[in-house]
Amino acid sequence: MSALAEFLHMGGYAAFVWGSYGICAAVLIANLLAVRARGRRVRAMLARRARFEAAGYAVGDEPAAGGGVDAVNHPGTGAVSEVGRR
Amino acid sequence: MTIARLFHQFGSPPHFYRLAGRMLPWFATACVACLAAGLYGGLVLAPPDYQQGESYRIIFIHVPSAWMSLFVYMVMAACGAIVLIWRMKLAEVVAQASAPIGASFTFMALVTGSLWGKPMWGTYWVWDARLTSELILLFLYLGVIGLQSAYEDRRTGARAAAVLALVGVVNIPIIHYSVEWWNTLHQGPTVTKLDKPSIHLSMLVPLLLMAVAFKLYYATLLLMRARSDLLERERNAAWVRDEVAAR
Repeated sequence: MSALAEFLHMGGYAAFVWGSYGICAAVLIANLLAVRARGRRVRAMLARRARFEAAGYAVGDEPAAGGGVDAVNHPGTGAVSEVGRR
Repeated sequence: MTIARLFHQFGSPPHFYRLAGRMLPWFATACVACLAAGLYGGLVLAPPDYQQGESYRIIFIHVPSAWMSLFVYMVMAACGAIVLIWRMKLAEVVAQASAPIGASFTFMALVTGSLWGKPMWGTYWVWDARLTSELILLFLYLGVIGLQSAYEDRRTGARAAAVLALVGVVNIPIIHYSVEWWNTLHQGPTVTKLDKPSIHLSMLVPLLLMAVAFKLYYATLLLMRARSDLLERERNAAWVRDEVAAR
């Protein structure tokens, strides 16, 4: 048996050893991707708010990123919603 | 600089945000380096175990995951105490960021343990003190995550979750000492003994490297998540507007 095949064989415990390592890798990567996606969502929300504000619209205190990042107040009314203030 | 001032400054969101941003690349790089060295040492360099053959190599992820499941819980509970006593925002953010990572490590410890138990004990699961108390830890994490998002006002949720996290601390020594207090199927401590650890250096070094890598992974994700949570919570503050404008 070649050295690589022997290494992958893990003395007959391949399914248990590589299964463990595979599941751990998947969990760790999923966590990393979730945190990165969250960061992107928040930064996109902030950039959008900045653009709206620069255009002269009133930007309300919309609900947090999980719920409604797009919930910016209706342009022109100038109303600032108190709903969802944290 | 007095300690109180240092504490105050570290807890101030803009200061923490910038400090975390500077530390992030170092933590991430060190994590990858330790992970690579630990995996190479554990999977390639370390010899097979004289009793368990190659299957023992699961130890290099199982034990660090289990250690982290307890460590992250203690961090989360300590933050919970700070949340309840001082209402510190940064502690809420850290507790909220820690819960899913801690739950992940607990899940990893349970799954790898199960996959190690099958070839060695002949079963994936037994209701043994160590296994059961670790499973309860997973449920505690899930309860904390649930409470954190159960309230419309997230600061109320953070306080409710903090109470549960603090009550759950009672489980931590139970997990740690379970293999000594009860006659369990799970083996006793190998590394954290007062006398010499009963593990050879060629296995101990990669194990410790993996433990450090997992700690650094936690630190990296914690900083990333805390940074974006701070931006979100403080979105109307002047410093966040400056940060957004500067980009």
